[in-house]
Amino acid sequence: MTKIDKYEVDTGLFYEPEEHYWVKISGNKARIGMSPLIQETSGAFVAVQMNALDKEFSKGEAFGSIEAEKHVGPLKAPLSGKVIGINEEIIENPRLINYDPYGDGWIIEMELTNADAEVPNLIFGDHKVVQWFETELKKFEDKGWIAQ
Amino acid sequence: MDSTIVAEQSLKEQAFAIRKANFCDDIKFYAPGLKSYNIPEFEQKNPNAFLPISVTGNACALDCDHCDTRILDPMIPLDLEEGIFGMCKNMKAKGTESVLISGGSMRNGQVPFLRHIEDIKRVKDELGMKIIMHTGLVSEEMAEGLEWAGVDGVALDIIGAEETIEKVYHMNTTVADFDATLERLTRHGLSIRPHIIMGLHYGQFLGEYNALEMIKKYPTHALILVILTPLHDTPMKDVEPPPTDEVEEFYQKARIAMPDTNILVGCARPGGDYKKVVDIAAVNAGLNGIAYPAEGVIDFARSKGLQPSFYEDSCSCGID
Repeated sequence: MTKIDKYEVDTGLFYEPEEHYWVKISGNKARIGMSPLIQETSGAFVAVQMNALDKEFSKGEAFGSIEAEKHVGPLKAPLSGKVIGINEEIIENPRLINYDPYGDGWIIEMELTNADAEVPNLIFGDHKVVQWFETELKKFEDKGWIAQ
Repeated sequence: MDSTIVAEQSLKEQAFAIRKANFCDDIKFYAPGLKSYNIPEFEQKNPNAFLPISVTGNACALDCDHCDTRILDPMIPLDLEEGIFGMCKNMKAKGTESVLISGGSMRNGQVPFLRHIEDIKRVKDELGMKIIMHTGLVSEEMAEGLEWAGVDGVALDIIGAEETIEKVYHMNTTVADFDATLERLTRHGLSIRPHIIMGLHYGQFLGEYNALEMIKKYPTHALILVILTPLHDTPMKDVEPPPTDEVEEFYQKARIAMPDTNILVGCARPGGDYKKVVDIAAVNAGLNGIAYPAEGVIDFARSKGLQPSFYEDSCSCGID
């Protein structure tokens, strides 16, 4: 973990920059969760709805929806693939995403169907992840999304 | 058929019939910039359209059990150098059309707005922005000031039980003080948008019906109904919100009690399945609008013959 401002960031993972997911890739499978920045700016998560298991999604397609104190919106697939696992624990206790975004707060697992084309577009590598996260942090601060 | 079921059906049907008789088929949906909001039926386009300013930052003297200052956290704290006018001028340049001016309370249940009243008047006169004041109790002097400033509306929580004022708000005031505030605001010609928080007494209904009786004595621009939402890190974090059937009944009785007043479902209510149930109940009870509707509710309203319209300011901004 690397500490950036007040955030503990796992710089060993891939990051999808638009929706702020982290992606842990093993072969053609991936586990996906939310970056610590997005979980903080959304506030406490109060509801997660997913009806996605065993279904295929294209990158950017909604596989569920999420509701937090400061955000309501779709959960969009960061990569194309079939959902092979969903974290039932966050449906029971959505605040796990806030408490443990890289651990018990993971969201889904996918079997990737277009990894060769899509994975190179993710942010990867210690230096690049830190640089991206710092830029995003500044953007969020400038937009007033983070309480000062 | 069970007589209770018949009675419940008739209450629901009666409420919707009152809506149909007294209002056009429009139903309003709101997504103010207090939170980002995007569902398939309603996408927020300008999250800056309506923004809240807290004149006390996240400070409040009351430490209410349901809030513990958490509600102030997402508000924009007053910048003392810029002042309210300077802040609003900058906000307007970025697309903000309406502001909620709020803040923490003093021990007497009032929010310290008076020192900013000239700035507030300038926002109205020079920037032409819509201003909704989120007050607590209002003194005569404050009511005069708000009238002088020409604010567009006043939103405030109305509590109808002494026990709730004492135990939840820790205030040394009475239900009569809330009634007096409504009277004062009305006498000064201010447009009131009172809120009732269902389940405020640790998830139980206690003073809500009394609050409704109080409010209906006054000309009300819009009645806003919200539901206790247990917030983490507050003394009520483990409290269960009120049962949805009690909320549904209150929606129906409010509609019947105030047949020609706009009644809106405000931002605060628990999420997930609970929200879906109570939002459907709100449409069925003939309420006039919903902030941050649950997914599927807009289509449900259409299926009831209602025509949705969409707004990116707060429901406290009311009905134009």
